[in-house]
Amino acid sequence: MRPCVRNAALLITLRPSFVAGIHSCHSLSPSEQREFQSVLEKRQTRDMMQFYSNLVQRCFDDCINDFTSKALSTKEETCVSRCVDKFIKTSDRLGQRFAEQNQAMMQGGGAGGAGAAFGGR
Amino acid sequence: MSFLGFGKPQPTLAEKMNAAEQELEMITDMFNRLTRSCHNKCIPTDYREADLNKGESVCLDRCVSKFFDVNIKVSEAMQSQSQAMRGAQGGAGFSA
Repeated sequence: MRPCVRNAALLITLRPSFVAGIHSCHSLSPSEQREFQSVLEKRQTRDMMQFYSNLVQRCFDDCINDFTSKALSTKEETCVSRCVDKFIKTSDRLGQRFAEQNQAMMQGGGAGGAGAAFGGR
Repeated sequence: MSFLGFGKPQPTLAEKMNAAEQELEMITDMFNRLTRSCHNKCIPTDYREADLNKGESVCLDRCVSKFFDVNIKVSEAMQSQSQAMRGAQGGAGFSA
């Protein structure tokens, strides 16, 4: 089976057009689509948790380097706040570009694509 | 199973769901790696402000583009490697 989930990026937003791409490509019937939808929702929850954990670790690693005091300083607090804002904006922007590139690749050629390396399933 | 050779066997629901889920897994993994790498390469860690400035935005856009290009290049290289290997094995068989 050729890989065909070109539009399946961005579980965080679960854009309808992406999901439709999966449905049409694997020829899922409406009842199969509903079942796949619940699979997607479970994944979305899991990915959201991972996103959060990842973000906490990143902002901690980058912002908190001074252990002379137990409480967070103002400097550290602002750093963490900016870190979160920045990461979310970065993630959004990367998601948009990723979707565009994915779309372009899907339209551009058959041989290429993210899955072509796996022995051309 | 195809009786009397009529038509191709239809993939079962489980097979279809599995295939679709595996692809989803692959794409999300790719996106997560891309996010991690491009953030490390483009966003300085002093977090002087909450918004992305112009330089960082441009860097991120280019990063995504290059990531995809690398993906394609690696994929092509791997395909040609595996084809070369298959070719070598086939040649050895005939000369035996």
